[in-house]
Amino acid sequence: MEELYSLVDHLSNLSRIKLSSEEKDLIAGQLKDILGAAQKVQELDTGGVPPTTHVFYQWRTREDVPAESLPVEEVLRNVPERESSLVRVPRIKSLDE
Amino acid sequence: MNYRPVIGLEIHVELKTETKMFCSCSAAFGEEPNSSCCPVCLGLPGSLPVINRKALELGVKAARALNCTVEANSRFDRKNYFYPDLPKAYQISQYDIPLGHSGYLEVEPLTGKPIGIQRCHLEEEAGKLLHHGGSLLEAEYSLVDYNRAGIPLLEIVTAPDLISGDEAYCFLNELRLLLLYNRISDCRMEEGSLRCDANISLSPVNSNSWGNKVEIKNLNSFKAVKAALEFEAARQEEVLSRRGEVLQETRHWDENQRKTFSLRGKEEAADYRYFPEPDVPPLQLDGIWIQKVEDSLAETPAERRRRYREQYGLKEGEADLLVAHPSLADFFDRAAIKYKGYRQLFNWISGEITRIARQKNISPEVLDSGALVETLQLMDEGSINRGTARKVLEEALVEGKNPAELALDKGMEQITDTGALGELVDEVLRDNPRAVGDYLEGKKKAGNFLLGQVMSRTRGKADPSVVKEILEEQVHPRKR
Ligand SMILES: [Zn+2]
Repeated sequence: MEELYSLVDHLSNLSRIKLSSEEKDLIAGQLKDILGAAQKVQELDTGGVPPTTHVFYQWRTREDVPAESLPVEEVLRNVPERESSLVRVPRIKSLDE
Repeated sequence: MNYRPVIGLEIHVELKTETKMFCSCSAAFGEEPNSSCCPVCLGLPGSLPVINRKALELGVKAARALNCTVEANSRFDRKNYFYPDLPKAYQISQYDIPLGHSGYLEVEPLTGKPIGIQRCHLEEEAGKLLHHGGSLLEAEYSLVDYNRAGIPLLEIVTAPDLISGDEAYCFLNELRLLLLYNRISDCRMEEGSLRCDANISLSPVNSNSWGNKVEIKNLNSFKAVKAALEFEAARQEEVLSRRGEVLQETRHWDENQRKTFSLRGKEEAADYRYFPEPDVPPLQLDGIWIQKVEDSLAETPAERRRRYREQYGLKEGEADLLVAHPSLADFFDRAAIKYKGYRQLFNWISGEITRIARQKNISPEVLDSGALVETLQLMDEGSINRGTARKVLEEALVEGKNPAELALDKGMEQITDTGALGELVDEVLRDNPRAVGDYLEGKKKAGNFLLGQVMSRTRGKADPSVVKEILEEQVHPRKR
């Protein structure tokens, strides 16, 4: 169980979401079920099966020819804060703050 | 105890393409902020990335230029992290099957020492963050331009084969030339199209154990790489000599203080949650295509230096100088097809062509090599002298005029009529009896003065060596 809680802390840190202790309890429980389900799959013997990363192996490429991009106004339409045509974001905090 | 530095480099270069890695937005530098963005590079829902064939080709070209094994079934992976320079909150990169691996680059200026290339892989560039008010951590807020986000990027990771700042410097120069001659990247550090991080640890001499590795960031030039590595080697040695511990950490190079600084802050081991990129199917590169790309490789800087030495008879330093400046070397190659006085050619390219290019701010790439060849031919025929040739060349290059016509039009053609010159010399000698007297008494300066007088009366159109001969002939009979 302790392992599960340190995993929850790690995930909360990675996703920059602060969790209350009740939330941690809730998520630790859910995580246990999720990991359990994944564990179930691992019971299968996949020794002779090559790993599959994609179901669709048909790949293609495109020519290196520029095409129209979006108008700047369109690009910035959902941006909460801007300065001329730049996106303004809060200062980047270090992890200790 | 004695220590030796163990150094590895991680280099990122933007590939020389017209468009981004996975969309058709322009990859041009210096556009209006956020004007080269589309649903794909902004990661809007429902958009799908499609690989830029040219970027793939340049990636394979770089891999083969670095003697790497090309992985035909390479694939892309998703690297997840939160940072405002990533509009998608992930970067499409390559993780466990990079495009190229297990290569090396022989660095001729390090007497051909091979430096291992662990891997080179394709990924997308991040956006550009401008920190408002001071450094990264002191900024009040940041501004983001996503034009750069999605530009094809090649990451090259060396083996820890370098042992000094100087070796790192030489390696980077050789790598840059290799990429430039193959037109893989512009390698402009000032525009950010080439960046380098370095890692260094100290290892006791006569031991295979390695100390803790320090990564150095914020290196803005090859000279900074060298200086930062030298500083860091000394700092670590000092720590170890007083039995301290070198912390495994990332440090920033401060160009003004010429020191590295710890970024402090707890660094949790990064967890990028890599997984195979679901939106880009794995590559299935065709062997014939890979071979075709390999066949298009330019000669290596080392091969080029050898060619200049052996085929054109240039001295080692001359060949090095030419190869270090690709636009001059290409100019030389274009001119050498039509002009066989290779040493003369080299002298004019390293002298006049370099001067004109610098003064007029024109790249030698666009200068007409034919103009130099014709000018040198006019000079060799004796139609114009060296000084005139310089003027003709500059006008021909800057204004695109024909050197032969320039020489004629401007009356720049050399006076070769010795009769006319003889009269001029006679005039000058009669007008300057004192100088003649001085010269006959052995004062060299007076001779130069007389020569200058004749040259100025011809407005520089005479061959000084011919004038000198006539002067000698005429001055001695005047001895009393
Ligand atoms: Zn785009």
